Amino acid sequence: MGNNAELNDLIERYKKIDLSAENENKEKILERLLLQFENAEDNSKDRLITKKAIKPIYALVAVLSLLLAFSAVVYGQDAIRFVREMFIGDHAYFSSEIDRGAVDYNIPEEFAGKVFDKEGNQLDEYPHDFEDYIELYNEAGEKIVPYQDKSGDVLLTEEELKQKTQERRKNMTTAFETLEEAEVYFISDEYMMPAYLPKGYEFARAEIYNNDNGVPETNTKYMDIYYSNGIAKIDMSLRFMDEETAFEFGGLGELTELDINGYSAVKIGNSMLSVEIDGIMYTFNRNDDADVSTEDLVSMDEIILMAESLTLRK
Amino acid sequence: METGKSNVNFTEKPTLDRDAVKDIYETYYKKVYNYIGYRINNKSDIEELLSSVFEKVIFKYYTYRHDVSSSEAWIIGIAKNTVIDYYRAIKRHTFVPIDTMYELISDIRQPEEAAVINESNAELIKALDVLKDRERNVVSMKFATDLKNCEIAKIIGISESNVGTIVNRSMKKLRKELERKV
Repeated sequence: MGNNAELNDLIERYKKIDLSAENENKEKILERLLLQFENAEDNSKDRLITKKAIKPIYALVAVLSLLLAFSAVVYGQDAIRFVREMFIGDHAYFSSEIDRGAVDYNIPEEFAGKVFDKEGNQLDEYPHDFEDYIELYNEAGEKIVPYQDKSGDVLLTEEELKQKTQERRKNMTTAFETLEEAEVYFISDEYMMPAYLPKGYEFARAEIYNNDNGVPETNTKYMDIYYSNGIAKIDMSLRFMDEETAFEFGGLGELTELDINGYSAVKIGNSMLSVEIDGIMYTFNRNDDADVSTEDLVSMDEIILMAESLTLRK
Repeated sequence: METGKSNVNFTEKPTLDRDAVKDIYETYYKKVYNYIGYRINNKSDIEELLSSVFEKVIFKYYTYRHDVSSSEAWIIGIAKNTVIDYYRAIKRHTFVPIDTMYELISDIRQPEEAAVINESNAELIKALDVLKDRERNVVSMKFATDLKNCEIAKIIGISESNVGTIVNRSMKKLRKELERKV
């Protein structure tokens, strides 16, 4: 058999695989979809992203916020309830949850004896009391992160985690030293930048996501701006909002509705703020990097001032 | 009905009713599920993303332009963007860098996967781990859908010849990986 014939044969073998065949929830998903369809009101925001018991990103973020490997935490389908939900603009839906009762706080066997709190106390289970994420330490007092790779569950120090991911991260975006270089890739000319920056902070770089060829995507609907004071960073992401970029966010942080110059905004926990102005969602995040202590982060009040100072770039 | 074309008229702004929703779902369920399944290994996440894709399809069907793409290409394009959004949301809203999460999601065999694939296909699925994300994206569309290379190229934003090159290279990698395991 020729080389190409062999490859075509392999393609056909893959085509014959039907991952969906063993999914038992096909009908349930359809029923839920039909229910959402029937409950949707014409021209309502609810038509875009309908409410349901649990969200894909929601569940995932909730799990990841705990900094636990997937296998370490189990959420029951009915365990999560929204404490608050809101739309910002026409394409973004935010929700927060309150019931953490179904979370499994047990530390996996393979981590037994290896997980400590900040004070050096060995932990038998993950702490229930945390704000944005759980801080875990090894015996040497280094911050650690549960991680799952092909060899199984492992604990990595933050430095190890950083190194492990650095190379891959490099390829995801292209960084530009000036905004002028980056903005040519952004889909809109009419976007805003903050006129106010917290003391000591300045523009550090702009990043554009790469396309599948590894080069910056043209007409991209996403652009990330980073500010730095040399220690901590502030990330402001711009997201051109339409049906394609519509998103739903869910997490453990408390949602607080704010008014930014007459536009609806939401503060999420103590790290993020999103506001949509004229079709672009501006999301500020003061907690993007893991290696900066809370004390060094800019306050949320400063983030709000930044948002309030957004003015048209051109 | 699980394959072929939907009875829903995609050439004009249709008024969807319950039957039309069912028809769209039944027509494209398998392709969307398999495409996401080739990209993401966790079964519960596949189902949730699948659900999210069909919500967007149904509630935004009126934005579909038949003169721009086939209905299948439009829906798979939405699926592609939903998967991208999945990763981006992780990056934006979590402490752990997206690359780490990507590895968690994409490269690791989740326990649930045992229920997703049967034993005879397990090696084929596992071999996909050797592919880079772009390669996996392209062959996922190739395996899961009837899209032509030119349609895949349009969805991903690369040239048609590049799709062919990527498919060819990916299949060689997969064959090598499968032979290595024999």
